[in-house]
Amino acid sequence: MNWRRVIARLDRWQHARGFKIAASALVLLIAVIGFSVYYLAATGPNADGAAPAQAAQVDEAEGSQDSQRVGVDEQARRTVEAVLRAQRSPTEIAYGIGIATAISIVVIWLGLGLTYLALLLLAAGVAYPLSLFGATAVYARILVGVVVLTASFTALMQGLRLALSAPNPIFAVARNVLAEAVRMKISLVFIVLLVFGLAALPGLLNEDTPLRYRVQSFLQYAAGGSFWMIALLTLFFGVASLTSEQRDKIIWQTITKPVAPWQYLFGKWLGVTLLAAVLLLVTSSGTFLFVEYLRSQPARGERVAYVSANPNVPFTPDRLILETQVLSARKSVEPSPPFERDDPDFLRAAYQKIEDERRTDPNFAATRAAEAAVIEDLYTSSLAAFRGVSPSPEFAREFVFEGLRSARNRDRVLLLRYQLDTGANNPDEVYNVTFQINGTEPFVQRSGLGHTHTVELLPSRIDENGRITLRVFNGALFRTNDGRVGWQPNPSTFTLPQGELTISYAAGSYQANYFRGVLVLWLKLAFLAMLAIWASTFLSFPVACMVAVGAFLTAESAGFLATALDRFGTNDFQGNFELWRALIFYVGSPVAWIFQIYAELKPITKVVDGQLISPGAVARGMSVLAVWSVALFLLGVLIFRRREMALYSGH
Amino acid sequence: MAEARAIQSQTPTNAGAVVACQNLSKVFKDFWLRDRARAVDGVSFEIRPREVFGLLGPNGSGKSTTIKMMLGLLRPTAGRLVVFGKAPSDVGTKKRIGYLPEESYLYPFLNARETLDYYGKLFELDRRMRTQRIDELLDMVGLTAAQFRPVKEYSKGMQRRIGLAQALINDPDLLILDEPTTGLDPIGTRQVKDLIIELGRRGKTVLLSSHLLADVEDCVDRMVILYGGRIRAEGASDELLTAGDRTSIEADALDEGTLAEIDEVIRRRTRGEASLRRVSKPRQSLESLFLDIVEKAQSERIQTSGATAGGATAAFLAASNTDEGEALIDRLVEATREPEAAPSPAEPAPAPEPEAVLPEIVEIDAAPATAPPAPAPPEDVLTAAVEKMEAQAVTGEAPPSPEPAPDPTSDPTPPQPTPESGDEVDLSMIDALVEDDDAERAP
Repeated sequence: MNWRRVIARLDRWQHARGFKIAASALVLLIAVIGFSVYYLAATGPNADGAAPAQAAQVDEAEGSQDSQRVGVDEQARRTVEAVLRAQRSPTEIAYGIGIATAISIVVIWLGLGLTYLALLLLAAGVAYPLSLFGATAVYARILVGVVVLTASFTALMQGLRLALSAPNPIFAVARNVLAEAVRMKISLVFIVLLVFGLAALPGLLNEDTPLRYRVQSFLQYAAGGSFWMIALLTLFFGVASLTSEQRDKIIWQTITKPVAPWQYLFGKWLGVTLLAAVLLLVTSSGTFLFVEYLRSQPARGERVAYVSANPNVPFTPDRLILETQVLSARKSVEPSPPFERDDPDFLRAAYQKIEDERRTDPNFAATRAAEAAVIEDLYTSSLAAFRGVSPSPEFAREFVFEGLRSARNRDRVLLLRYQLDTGANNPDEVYNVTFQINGTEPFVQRSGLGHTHTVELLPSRIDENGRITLRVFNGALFRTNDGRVGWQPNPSTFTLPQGELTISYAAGSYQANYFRGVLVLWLKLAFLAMLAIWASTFLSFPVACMVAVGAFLTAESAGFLATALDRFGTNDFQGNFELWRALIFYVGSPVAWIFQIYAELKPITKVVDGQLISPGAVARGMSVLAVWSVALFLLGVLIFRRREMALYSGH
Repeated sequence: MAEARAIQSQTPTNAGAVVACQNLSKVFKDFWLRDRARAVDGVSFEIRPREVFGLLGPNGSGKSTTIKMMLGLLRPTAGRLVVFGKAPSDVGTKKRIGYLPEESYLYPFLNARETLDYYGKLFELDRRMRTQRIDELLDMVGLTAAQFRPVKEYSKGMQRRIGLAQALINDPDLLILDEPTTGLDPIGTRQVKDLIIELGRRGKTVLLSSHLLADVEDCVDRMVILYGGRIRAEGASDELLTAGDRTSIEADALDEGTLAEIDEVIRRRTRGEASLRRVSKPRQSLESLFLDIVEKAQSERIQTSGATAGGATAAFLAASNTDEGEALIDRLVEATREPEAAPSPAEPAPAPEPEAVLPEIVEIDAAPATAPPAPAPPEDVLTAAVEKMEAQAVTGEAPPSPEPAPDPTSDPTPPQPTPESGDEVDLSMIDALVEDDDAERAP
């Protein structure tokens, strides 16, 4: 019997209903046995008693709400304990086993059960010997990564093909797009690059760096790189899919069938969007799982990874920062401004300033709009001045952080993040900065210039109104041995730039935050797919690519564009109106406004920094992107209906 | 007569027409919206239900432009165009149309089966029906063995075949074929022509566009001939092509004596005005020779990676052994009852036996002297037949018909299946004469 015949027989076997039922039952049985074994081991009488005992203590401490008794370190340990305990809870394990079981059963019912089993065994058989040697270990990781990612991708694509197999024009067009994606070079190149790039990325991490940096680097490059790669694929492939059909007249065969223009365009968009979704799901799942793997590695200073609440295991700052700042979902609060724009005192002073200027220049701020612009400038510069701190104890600045009541209720460690900016920011200089919270004993922090620094704070610092008042001194305020207060100023004034003085707290889990981040990325990709489809309804491939990629880059940089335009204006430095500046300003401003929400959705930055992506922000972003997508779609349908397809050459 | 036909048709629109064009024009404009080319110029015609309609003309005469307007791929600059009573852009109407463009524009990454499956889904055919039709169509166009190869690997002829199959996947009421035989080998060409005839017999409406006149001649019931975007001639195929001043006779091999006798009969009956002009052995056509060679090779099971000989017409189209087929048969039965005046298109009139022809002709002698001379006097029959035979042998074309143009709104002439070889003598004229004779002798 030759191999080909054996393989053919096995293939028939794995497609047989009986095999699928038996294999599914086997997988379910293994899952149930696995979970039962874990559950008994974790909760049985022979389980490690330290963890439950410690957990009980922590629960008791949490229940007491008496945070004052607990130091920052102990509070941080409790936070880490809570995170790790949640990860190892039977519920979490059940979720994990359930997902793995579901995926396995889907693969079996796609008729790929034996294929995938053979593929994984083959990969393991090759990768294991490679992993035994230092020089080849990296290749083993790449091989495993490529196999797992490719297998996931093909299984998901196969599943999508099945899901879209209904006799419906929209599904038929979408399914055709998916077939095109895996069979045409333009998309296949991107997909292969993506899979190999992601599989090779872990090999580029420096194992000597702290674990938190490794995790952040991997998150940044894997999530960011994947998104940009998929985004470019979405744009190029979306444009190519539609324009090539018009150029090669293949579209004639479709639109002379009972397919309305909207169905055709929607099918195209659906196909491209689902392709992007599959790629994003594969890459983000791979990224997530590898981050979990990194998390289970020893942090700097740990001999073994800190996975239990055993007091004998040293608790390192690297682990603390990783679990509380990086793999977290922190909500940040900025200090309230000292006064609002409509503050009567401020307005009175502002108008007084304008009147003073008019004495020397009668035409100063002659119109109401010019007057408003001057007031806005004054307000902005007032806020900037407020953030400047002079090196004198009399000029300490007081910042009030409000809206921290939920942080107090959660009883989690707070994080004060700040950055000192002296303009020159000499890297050799270190400033002493003194903080005083709610009038309590001040403390000094030595801080380099131009870098972000963090200080952990106890939640008990928050007052009843959910507020923290922070006084900042430009120098070291200390108590001498004889009990007197001493003062050591820094050489110059520093400022705490906008957005660089925050208090944050854990407002959710990293996992949920990561999921929301991926959802936002997919929303962006869906919008980009519609952008590509719209551009292709009336432009040829190169022009449509230029327009779509240009819009994408503009959208991604809209935040920077808006900031730049704020400072750009229509007048030169002497205040003279310049036509070209006005042209740039009036073209750039609406563009920045259009993509404002898109630019504000920074899921990767937020996930990497451990910042919360709130459900409200996701909903807001979804609404705006949906509105823009629908508008582009309707415009595209309108254009498409008016087109004479037989006239278009696309060359 | 041809000049008389070279007029622009101003046929009023018939509400029952499958396609109706009135003063249809298409002007292509340049970037500055100036007129660049007038591809179609005030064309009016109708395609009636269950007829095979030919759209003829040289390259650039406006055939494809007219078809594209019918399909909504172009918008008319002026005039009115309706398909099944609705605008060409109507999505619902497209469910009833099958279209084969002038080139097969196919997704290169799909194989033949996937291609047909895709188009079947666009018509919302369920899985069972798609599978059945795909199997039958692949068999019909001879691509069953190559069904899993990507179509980008197909030869042009194979792509035409799969293009034809996709045009039939929805069992269309109106089949639009734009240059269907381009790129096909003689077998494929013959099959396409047979298919068109078969579909016509089954009651489908077929629009056939071609500049290959031999293709059209064999198949169509009516036709228009375009040149410069205008209709130059229009009418039933027989009316346009039949040469009334010639007669062709084909017989088994005859010796010199018999031929001399025939010549004598001709001279006697025409009082010396007509004679046997040309006698030759029938020459096998290249198409017949080619078909014979290929059939022989296939019978010897010689391997080929290309298309094989196509099978029978797809069952769902031929209406056999399926519920769908039964329904179609019912429809066809209903359809064939309608044109009472015409013989059933499914049953062409049998050609008379050659041996019986001459006695019949001789019997014409006994006809009354008052017999009407039109369309041709009985005395001129053999002369005309011989002249026609000679003309066909020399030019391969038929002289223009002397017949007046029929009313285009009248009932269509049922399609007449043609003999296998174009070189064979057309006996239909003799049949007509016999019928005329019968009519004259009837009380």
